[in-house]
Amino acid sequence: MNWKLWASQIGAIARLELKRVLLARRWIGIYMVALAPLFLMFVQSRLSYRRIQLLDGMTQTYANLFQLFILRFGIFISCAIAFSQLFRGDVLEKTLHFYLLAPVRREIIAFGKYTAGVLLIGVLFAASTIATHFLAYSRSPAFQSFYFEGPGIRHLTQYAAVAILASIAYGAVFLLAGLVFKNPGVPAFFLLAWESLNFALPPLLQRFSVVHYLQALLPVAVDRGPFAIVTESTSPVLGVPILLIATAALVATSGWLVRYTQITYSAD
Amino acid sequence: MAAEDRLILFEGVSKFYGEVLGVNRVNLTIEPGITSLVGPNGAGKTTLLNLMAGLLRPTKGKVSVLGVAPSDAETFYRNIGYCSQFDSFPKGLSGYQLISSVMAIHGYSREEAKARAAAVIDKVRMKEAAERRIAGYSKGMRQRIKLALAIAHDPKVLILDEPLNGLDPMARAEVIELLRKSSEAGMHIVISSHILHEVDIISDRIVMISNGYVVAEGDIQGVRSEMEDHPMQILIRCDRPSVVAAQIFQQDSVVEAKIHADGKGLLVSTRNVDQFYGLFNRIVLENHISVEAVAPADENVHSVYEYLIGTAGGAAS
Repeated sequence: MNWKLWASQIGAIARLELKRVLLARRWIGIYMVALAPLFLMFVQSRLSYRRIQLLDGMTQTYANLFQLFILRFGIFISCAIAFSQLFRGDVLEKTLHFYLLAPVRREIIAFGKYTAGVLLIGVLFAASTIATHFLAYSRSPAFQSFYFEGPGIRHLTQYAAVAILASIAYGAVFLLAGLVFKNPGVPAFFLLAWESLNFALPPLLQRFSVVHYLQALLPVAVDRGPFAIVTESTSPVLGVPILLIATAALVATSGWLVRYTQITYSAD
Repeated sequence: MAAEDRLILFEGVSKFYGEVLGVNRVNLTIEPGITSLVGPNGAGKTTLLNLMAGLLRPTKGKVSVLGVAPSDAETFYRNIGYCSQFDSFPKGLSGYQLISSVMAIHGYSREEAKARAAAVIDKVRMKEAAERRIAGYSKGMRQRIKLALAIAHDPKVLILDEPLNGLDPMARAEVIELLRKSSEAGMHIVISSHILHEVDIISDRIVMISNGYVVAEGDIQGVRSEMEDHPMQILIRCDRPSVVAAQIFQQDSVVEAKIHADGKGLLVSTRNVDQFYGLFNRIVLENHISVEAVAPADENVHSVYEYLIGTAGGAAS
């Protein structure tokens, strides 16, 4: 086991991927999605000035924005685009052989690319979450007391942690989807439906979704509507390890699939 | 060291793309030196190279390079450099960035990766364009960068798919010289090329492939001499070709003799070269003929290619 070599190879793959991603025009959509919550919060603060004066009102508004837009839409869609393209994009651009011809374990290639994806989406949405949170409370008279005496910093940390954890978990799902499906849009659509309708699923099935475990980590709950089937949430002490173990299994499966990848660009 | 540790081996290798044949029942042993794969478009050359480079898995059979199977990627790809036919590169990168990044993936430290990239770029004479984006390179420059990437880690086996494509005559000469030097240093070089006269110049051995089957392999002379259906042609320049022509037909194996228009030579076709040379020596001594030159006229890749595969497919040039 040459851990030092593998770590350096993962770092090199992640650096190359980030260099390519940051320079590529096709990722602009992801940057726009990450910036969108800031814009929405800015508009919200202009339209309902009275509401943001009330701390509770703002806390609920932010919780809705985070759960409905940042988590269920922004991070989900960005992970679907970014992670499913980590290998699929290389096949379409006919550049996967640059990786496969290097003396590196195929599993390391998968993990290096996954690391790049997590760094990009995780950092992007953690930053977006933090910036939006500050913007939400910036005009409130209780800004200082909320952050320095109240629960502000704890909320902020929890939201940012959920954003990163969501990138890690959804990233692993779409890394695998990109390797299994030629058109990852189809599984992404079904997964979006599954995650969105999670609240209406029987309790047992609710546990087979990422959002179920993430919700338990959030500081403020949101109204799930009249059709929601109420279930007991999984404790974070159990939920976080479950998510991480499932993620590790998905990334390992992806690595195993990369091991059997062949270069047949014309057939793809 | 076991013998197979210095060979490239194909053992009963077949590759099918669904129902389409790539290559079938290939048994090959490739020794150090320059080996050329020759065949028309769609013959299976690139499939064979991709199998050799581990980018494809055989449907049947086994491939090993210097005793290592492609499944052991960490060892296998330290030994191999592959200049593929794929003319696409990661977007947004310069030639230097690409090579140094790939060297870092190989496991070299950042300093070593940069040093190797700089050295190999210098070697393929791309120093001035190294910092420019590959997207702006000409076909020849892209070809050089691919070659640089293939040799940057000092592999023992260099696999080149149409390496001379897009290169100007000067660059071709430089690449051929580079390959020669590498071969003399004990490297395995396997080339697929359409440019037959250049293959002829540089190759120690050829592998002829047609419709997915290896139809001949070995050194040019060996392959040519085994082709009994096609008489060998011998070019003779001498002062009295008509005397030679009159006497050589005492041998049944001689099938044709054409006297040159200038009357100072003839082209002989024979099915038994050794027997012919014996007879020719006797004729020369007995008749006091002055001989200027004797040389095989069709002991080259082009002739062998035409005899075995024909010009169908338009590969010969």
